[in-house]
Amino acid sequence: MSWRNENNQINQTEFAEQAQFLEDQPTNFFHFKDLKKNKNLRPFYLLALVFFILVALFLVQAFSQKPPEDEVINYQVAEDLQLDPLNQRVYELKENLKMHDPTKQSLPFPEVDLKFNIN
Amino acid sequence: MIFMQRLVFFFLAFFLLTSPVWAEEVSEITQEPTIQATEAADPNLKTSIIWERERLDQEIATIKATYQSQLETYLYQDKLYRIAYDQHKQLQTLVSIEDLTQKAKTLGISRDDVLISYLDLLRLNLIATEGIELSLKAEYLTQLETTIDYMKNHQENLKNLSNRDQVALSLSTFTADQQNIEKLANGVLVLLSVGNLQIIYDKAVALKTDIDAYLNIKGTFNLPEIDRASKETNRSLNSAKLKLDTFWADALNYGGKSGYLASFYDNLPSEMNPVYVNLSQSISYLSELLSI
Repeated sequence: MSWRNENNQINQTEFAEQAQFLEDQPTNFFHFKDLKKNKNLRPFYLLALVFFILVALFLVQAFSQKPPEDEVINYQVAEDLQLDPLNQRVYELKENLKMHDPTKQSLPFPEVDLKFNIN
Repeated sequence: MIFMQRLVFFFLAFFLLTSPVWAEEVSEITQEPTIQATEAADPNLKTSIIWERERLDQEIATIKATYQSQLETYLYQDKLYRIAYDQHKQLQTLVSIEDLTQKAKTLGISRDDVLISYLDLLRLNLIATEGIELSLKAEYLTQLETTIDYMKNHQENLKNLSNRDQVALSLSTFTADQQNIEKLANGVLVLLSVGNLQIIYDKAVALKTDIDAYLNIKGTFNLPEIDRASKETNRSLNSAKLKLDTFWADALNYGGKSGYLASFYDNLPSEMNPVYVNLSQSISYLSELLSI
């Protein structure tokens, strides 16, 4: 008679399934140590590891990346454009001198045959 | 405390009022004196010089492009002529001699095109380069124009010829008449090369004067390091001047017609490299003067 009393509910309006749900409250919280025992979580660890490596690689690349050479030249040109008039004139003179190096000839005599004939 | 506040206010007001005056003085110094003088004399003259310069640069660029394309055509025609020449040597037929005549005529016309454009390019560059002795410039311009006229006449004449002997005669006359064309071109190239260095020297001297004036206003002209750098710059510029003066004196003494400049062409790199080095040093010193 006693076991019947145990299964009997006080509130008679609830169904049996509902009663089970309401009565069984979780007693323990989530523990990471329990997860270690679960072998089904290995793919999850693998994925997390790959994700971590990718992030690390991205960060290393972002910090070690040097600006491309073109950009350096552009910065240099921008600096040159901002020079004061006297420095600007010095810069122009330097560039002009580079263009007129006497060891380089930009207009050599064309390689044409001056002596060809029919005979 | 109130006295201190007033003192600070007074100093701030003083610097705010005097700074525009200082800026004006510096900007006046840093402007090109020659341009200022020209502008003061005649503002229209400066504009016309700039227009003239732009027109010349544009013309040079156009002729350079034409010259490159004509040179390519010439090289193609030359290949065809060589093939026709070899075929005629092997076959010795009437068809092959006729083909060779046509190919030689076309090549001659193409060669004239190339040389006319090349000499015109030299002529325009000679006009555009300011640092050349005027008498030498005039002499070489005349020689260039005469040669260009000759080429044009020769080309017109060659276009009207169809007979084998006539074409052969025209080509051999050209060879005999234009033996010195390369020498003429080399002489002009020497003038252009030295003239450009002369312009850079002239600009460097003007810039040195302006930098000295700027340093004087700045009050740092008498500093020992600036004094040393200034003397070093002057020494380097003087060395370049000596070499340039010697070149122009020799060129004027020997004249353009004697082939002195053409013979100088082969030694141009070794003869003018010291001037180039002097100018390069001077410009570096000028840059250092501004950074001290």
